[in-house]
Amino acid sequence: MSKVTSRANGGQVRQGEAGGASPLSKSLYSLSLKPSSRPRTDAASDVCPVCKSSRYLNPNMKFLVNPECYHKMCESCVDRIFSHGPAPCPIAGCARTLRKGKFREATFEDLKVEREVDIRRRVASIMNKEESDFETLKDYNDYLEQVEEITWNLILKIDVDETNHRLQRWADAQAAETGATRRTYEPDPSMAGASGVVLKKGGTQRRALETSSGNTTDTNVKDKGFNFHGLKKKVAPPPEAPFDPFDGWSIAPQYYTLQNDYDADWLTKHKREKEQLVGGYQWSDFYNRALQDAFGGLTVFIDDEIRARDIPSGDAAIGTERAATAAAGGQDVNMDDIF
Amino acid sequence: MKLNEDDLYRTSTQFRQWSFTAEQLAAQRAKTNLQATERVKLNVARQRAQRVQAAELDSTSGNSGIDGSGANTPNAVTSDKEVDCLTVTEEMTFVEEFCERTMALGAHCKFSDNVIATCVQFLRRFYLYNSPMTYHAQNISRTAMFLAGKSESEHQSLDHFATNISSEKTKVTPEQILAPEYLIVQALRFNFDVKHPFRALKGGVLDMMSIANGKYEGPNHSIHKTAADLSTAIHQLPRKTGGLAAKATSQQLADRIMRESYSPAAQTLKKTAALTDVYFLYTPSQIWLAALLLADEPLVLFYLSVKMPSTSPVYEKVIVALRECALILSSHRSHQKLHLPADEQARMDAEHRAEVKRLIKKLKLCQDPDKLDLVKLNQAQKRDAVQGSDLDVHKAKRRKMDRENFQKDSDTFWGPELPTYGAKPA
Amino acid sequence: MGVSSPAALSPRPKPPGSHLAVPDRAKALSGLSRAAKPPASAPITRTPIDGGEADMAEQMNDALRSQFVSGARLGEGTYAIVYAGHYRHDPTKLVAIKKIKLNADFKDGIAMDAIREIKYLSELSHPNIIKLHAVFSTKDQNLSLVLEHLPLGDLEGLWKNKSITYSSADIKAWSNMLCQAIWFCHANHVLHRDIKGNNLLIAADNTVKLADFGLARSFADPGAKMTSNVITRFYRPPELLYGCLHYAGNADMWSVGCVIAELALRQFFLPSETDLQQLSVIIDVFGTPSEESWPGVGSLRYYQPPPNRSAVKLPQPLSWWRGRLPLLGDDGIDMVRGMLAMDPQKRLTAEQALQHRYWTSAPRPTKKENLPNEGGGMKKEGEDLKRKGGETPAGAGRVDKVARKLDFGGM
Repeated sequence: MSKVTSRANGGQVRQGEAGGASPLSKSLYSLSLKPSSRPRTDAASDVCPVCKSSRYLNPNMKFLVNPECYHKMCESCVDRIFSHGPAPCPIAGCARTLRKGKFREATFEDLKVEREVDIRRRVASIMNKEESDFETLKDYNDYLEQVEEITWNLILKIDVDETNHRLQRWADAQAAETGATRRTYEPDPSMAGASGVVLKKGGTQRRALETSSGNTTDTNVKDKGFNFHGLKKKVAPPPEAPFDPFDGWSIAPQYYTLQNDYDADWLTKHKREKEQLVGGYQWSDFYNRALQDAFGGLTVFIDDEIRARDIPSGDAAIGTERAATAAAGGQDVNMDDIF
Repeated sequence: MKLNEDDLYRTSTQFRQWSFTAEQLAAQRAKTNLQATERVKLNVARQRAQRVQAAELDSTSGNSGIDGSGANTPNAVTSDKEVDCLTVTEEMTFVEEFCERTMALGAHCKFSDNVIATCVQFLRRFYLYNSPMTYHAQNISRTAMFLAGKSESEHQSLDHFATNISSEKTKVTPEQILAPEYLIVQALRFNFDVKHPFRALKGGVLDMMSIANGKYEGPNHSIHKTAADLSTAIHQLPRKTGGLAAKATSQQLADRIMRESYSPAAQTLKKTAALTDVYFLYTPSQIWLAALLLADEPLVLFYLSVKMPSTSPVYEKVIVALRECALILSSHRSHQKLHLPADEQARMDAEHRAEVKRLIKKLKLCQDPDKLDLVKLNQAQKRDAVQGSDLDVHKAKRRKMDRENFQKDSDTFWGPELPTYGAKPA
Repeated sequence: MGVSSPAALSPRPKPPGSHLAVPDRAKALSGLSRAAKPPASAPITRTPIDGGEADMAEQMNDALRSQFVSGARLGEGTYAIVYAGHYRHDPTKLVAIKKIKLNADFKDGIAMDAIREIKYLSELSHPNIIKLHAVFSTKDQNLSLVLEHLPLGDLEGLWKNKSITYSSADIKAWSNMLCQAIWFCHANHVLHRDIKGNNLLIAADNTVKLADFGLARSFADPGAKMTSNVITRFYRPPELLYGCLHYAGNADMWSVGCVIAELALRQFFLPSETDLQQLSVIIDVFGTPSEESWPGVGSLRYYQPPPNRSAVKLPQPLSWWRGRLPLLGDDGIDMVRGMLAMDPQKRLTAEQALQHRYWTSAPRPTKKENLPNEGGGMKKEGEDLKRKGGETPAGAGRVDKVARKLDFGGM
């Protein structure tokens, strides 16, 4: 339901703004390169909106933003206001709770671009299918189209709550499918206000979201948040077998079972010799070897098994070549030679 | 990779390189004999011709020089008779004789049975690809013994060994022992491991004893279900196949297994098995069971029926193989002798000695004259190789020129090379 | 003529550069030129050559030799020279050719090392044991062993190379391959008797392969005496240092324990200068052996009881091991201590070692393809072909740096 509306809304806005060309490039263009509709002077951008100090007076001044609201302020203001713990944003009309740790320098001068890039990064980390995951190219393109729509919904603050929920469900479903550790989707914090939910702290908001999404996945497993056509069923790799220290090798006799001890006159004489045992001599080694010898090749019938293999006979050249091959280990299965 | 005893045996060089069917063996021996015969005839004819020419030269120059090949005893070159080569059978008898002599030699040098048995197999393997007409077994057997000692970790120092085998009559030098060493390892295709049935026999007998003692834990396919049942059954085995079941005491049974069966079987393995082709034709496991079959058939058949279901086709095949192998063993002179009266034995020995004497004499007249002095041959080969390996580019060029000049010279002398040379040499 | 010997095909005398000895040729030529008429029969035109035409065995040997092309020299030791090489029919199939040197000190023909190495490698076929493709002899009567190409150095080089970092999972993977190799040797009743880091070579796919079987021998027969003068000193177990002549697979297991500890430590575990000092180094760690801890130890040839009570040393406690080998974890330490039990009867056998919980406990051993190595990883295999002569890495079948001591008598 909301999908349709968001699509419609997104479409309208995009058309209005960029005239129906490729949405991303146009939006970036319109947001950063096109001269802003609200002209700003260089002087204004270099003045901290909180303490009003100017870069003109302090060339080392640094501006920081917090992705909760993307309001710009200088580093010393951040230090001053947020050093003692979370505090509300000092910009009038914002009042969102900010933490010092989240402040960072903006990569882009235009904070709208900064925000869009953040959103895109977040969405891309969840919607991470590749072409090979789809049955046809068209399905993949449809998927990309849908992802773009989701992205725009978030950028343009349309159905933010709903979209975030669906993204979280999708992330959970993906994690469940791959058996990987659950990846938590962090919704765009700046959306909270737009969706009308007032949250005191980012952390609380996240936790609340997690629990709610956890509930949804529990109650409604089928709802993955999104449904993409032509998405291949993910075949989870078979669980790794426990490590085999023998790497599959074993020597198991078929005609004897090694016993702990054997009796015979001529053994008793030797067995008493302590001299051997001091050095680690083990009678079981001898028993095993003797019995292995006793039955090694019992059912190897040379007449049958060797007949297939020729020894040098008849033509000298061919004969010797074969012998050489045999000598080179031509019988060995490990040698994938052309012999 | 799951391996059982048979798979392990299949990885051995004894199986991969030195197991043959009877036909393959015969074909290989025929081929070796043919090649040696041809070569002996060619080389003898050539040397005789040279000798004649040398004699002519000597007579024209009035010089009564001494021929290089002039030895006291007549040999292939000095004799004027048509070269009469050994047949395959004669070769085999000859090699066998030297295997027996080697056993005595090994015992004299205080080598273990293992080294001696390995040495005999080295000899038998060597003479599969070489003829005694080419390389005399006397020389080869000494070196084979030395080599077997090294291979079985019972190395005797060369000097010690040389003194050991030298007697009043014949002095053996270390060089003589080393000379054919490469020849031998090459013919052995560098396979040094020989799997003998001796330890196998011991293992089998230990296993049988644990059946007798009622302690058997291994696979059981017989009708006697428990270890105690098996013990009872083995105590009641008849002495002869088809004979009446008898009740033996534990001591009697132990005697039967250890003395009456094990000892003769061990003797058969030590002597007869080494002198026959069974190492080539059967596996050690089959050989010891065959040897024991000759000593105590009911025991072996009972034992096998425990090891595998007697209804299975494999069981039948094993029995057939064992009987064939036992037949080879029992028809050998050294085994037949055991069951004959003393005078019969003496007669057989005398016959054998006479035959061997004849063969040794015959061999003198068909010994490859090129291969008589192995020490010199060895030195020459080494020298040749050293020259060859020292080749630098400059020398190589000069050699090439030499060769071309020589070819020119020889072409003018011999005429151009014949394109097809298929004529049988005289 | 059904079977023609190769020499019969060539009626002309062999030119120089072949086996022909010059005096013979001169004699033959001069003799013939003076003769009234050259003999008509063909055989006489054949030259007597030293050694004659090739024997059947020699032909086989030559056929085998011609299958391989020998290339750059990779290294030289006291006992052999190693060359890079490849199959003639397929230059991408690389091999290492180990040419056994004629040892001037060993007058007794073919060296025991060569015989042993050939003998046992021919019989053992396991992915963690170096493969012997073929053996041939060259004209100058030198044996050449065609061995598997193992281009990525050895375990000792690995821990010595400080530019490589590795983890406990990597150690576990390498140790496991080593233990498998030893298990297979012992299951086939072969003692290696020279296990050490630089005999554990690394293949292009990072597989560890046990090499250098020059001291190997078969074992298990009761009463058989074996020399105690084997195994490189740092890795030699106490029973051999005490001069014991009857030992078994557990002697190798001591060396295995040393190698694993060495990997975790990144330095030699029990280094010493002399055999005597080796024993005291061992006692410092494992305590003075007594009749209680090692029944019968007093009967060993070179055993000397401690002169007084104060000279008796106690074994190091678990905390010492934890401090020294933290990378192995408690399970690994337990296994290594099991391999390094003073009394060989109490030492883990190779099979028991492989059944130890260390292998299955966390961390799981690193997969072969992810193991660190001294080369460029999997790319290296291809680069090997491009490499010029001098740039070759430490080659396969390389000869060890530590001169081996071996008493050839009294085996």
